[in-house]
Amino acid sequence: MDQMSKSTGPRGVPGDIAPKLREMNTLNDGVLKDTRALYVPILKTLSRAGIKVEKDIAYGSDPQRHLLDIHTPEKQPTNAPVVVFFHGGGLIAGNKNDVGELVYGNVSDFFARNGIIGVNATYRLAPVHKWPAGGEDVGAAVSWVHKNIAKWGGDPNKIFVMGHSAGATHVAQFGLHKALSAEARKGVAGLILTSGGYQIASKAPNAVAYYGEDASKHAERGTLGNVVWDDKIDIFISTAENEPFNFQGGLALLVAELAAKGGRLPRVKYLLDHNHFSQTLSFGTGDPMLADDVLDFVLTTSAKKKS
Amino acid sequence: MAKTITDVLAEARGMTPEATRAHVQAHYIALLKQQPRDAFTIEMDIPFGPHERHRLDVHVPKAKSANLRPVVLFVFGGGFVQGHKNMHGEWIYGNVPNFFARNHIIGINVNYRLAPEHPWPAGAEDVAGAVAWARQNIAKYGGDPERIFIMGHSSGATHVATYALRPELHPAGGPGIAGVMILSGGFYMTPETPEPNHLAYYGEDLSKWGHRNLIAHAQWGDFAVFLSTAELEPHSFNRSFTAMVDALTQRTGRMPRIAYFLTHNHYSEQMAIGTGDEQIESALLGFVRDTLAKRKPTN
Repeated sequence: MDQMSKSTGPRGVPGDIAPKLREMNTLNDGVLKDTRALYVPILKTLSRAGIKVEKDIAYGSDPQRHLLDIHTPEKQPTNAPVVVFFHGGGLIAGNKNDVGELVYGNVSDFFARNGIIGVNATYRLAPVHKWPAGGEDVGAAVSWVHKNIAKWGGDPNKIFVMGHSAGATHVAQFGLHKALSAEARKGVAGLILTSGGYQIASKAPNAVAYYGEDASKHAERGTLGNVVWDDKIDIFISTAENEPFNFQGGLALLVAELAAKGGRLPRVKYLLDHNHFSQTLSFGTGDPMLADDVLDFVLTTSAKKKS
Repeated sequence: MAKTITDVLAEARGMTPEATRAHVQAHYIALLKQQPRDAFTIEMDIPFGPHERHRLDVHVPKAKSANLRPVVLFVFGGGFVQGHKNMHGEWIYGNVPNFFARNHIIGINVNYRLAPEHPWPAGAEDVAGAVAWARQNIAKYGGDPERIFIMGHSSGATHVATYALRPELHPAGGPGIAGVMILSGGFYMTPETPEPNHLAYYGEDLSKWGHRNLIAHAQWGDFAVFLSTAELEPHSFNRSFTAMVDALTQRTGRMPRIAYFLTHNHYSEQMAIGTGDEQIESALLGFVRDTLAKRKPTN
């Protein structure tokens, strides 16, 4: 499925990576640094042959943050599914490109290598831009993609919106919150939510920065409790074994609400051995745990949809 | 290429649910008949309690082992009111303990009392009885009484989960299990529109259902939990899964190991065990292996 073939360990993650992930203390501040130190050297070795990238296309008025990159197979496809990816950063930090383009570009590269259009987008941050700016930016980027992606060989009606961590928080809000515009969801076939925060920890500084100081508004601003699940949209949702519990508990709460309100279950995946950061960094490295399942979700969901 | 369950379910399109089940079963029994049976022995119908349904079969790997082996005790489903540990010869549900025995684990296939003659919590009490028997006797078969897992499917999953998660059903020393595997358990009770088999097992007196609802009373102790649901099963089982994951995580701050079996329905996920179905078999064996790796060795 991917360009690299690696020997998969007994739990699914490649056998040379899994023990190193297990050694990390998953909750200390060093885990981000340690995880990057593990993956960046691997990402540097990946060939980008056959992938074309067009960078920093504006999808809105903010010159720094309303930007997206489009990764396509060099030989232009026709009516390919499109995955629009939103990075994490605790609602207050992060960018679509880090370590040159290696980090997060690796996610969109993976899709392009598999014949899918990969869009890598960034968005405005708190505290300057508060709720629902993140969800609105997801909507603006998706609307832009719906209108324009045919020029790159993408199918405007097979758009998958994917987020990690705070990016998943925004994607969930965009795709599911009753207060956000359903109009912007045109063309969306699926949501891919990896380790998002769906409940609001009202006293956490980053939550206050984004959702506001007035805690009485948090209940109406969070995704939980406010879900409307459109029949036409399929969902993939995951959490990692070695990430802080709030992400795992958040998945349980959101999946329960989706099942109760939607009358169906999203596709649920529990990522053995991964931590909060490694799951995203593993895209393109030959690790099947998350990447292959997401790819399968995109392909099987696309096959059910009309162009 | 071998037929997948998706192919088999496509062939069954338009059939009644009963005919679909029979079609899926014929597919899996054909596959099960191809599996080697020379690596284990079976001792049938060992009593573990006074009732005629208090019987279990022990499937023991023949190979010598220096250490006592882990044990998986399997409890079949049947909507609380029907079923037997051995149906269609021993293919169903013997396929589950066969599978474990082929993988160097002692498999125990448990029969239990049925509703309405034996209402709640008889099923969970029978799980307790089978666990007590295994704790006392399994070393004679080469099994490790300190490494017992209990696994159930459908109403069998309800029974093993009820035993594991309700401490009032445990003997003085605790539940005596290393882990519990809950495959498509039914926990979702609808007193406003009660299901006939729920009335049979939980009783006609709906005022008692609150106390008998496992979601509301689950207490997760010192053992590992595996919970799964299947993509193509009735939504009530999906909701039981989500409600139980939700209750366990919010109550304990711990995450159970969860799995979502793609392309399977409520019956196929059980019948596929031991046929080489990588998705389901690796999830089960991986849970047992990883749980034991985290525990201190006992011998």
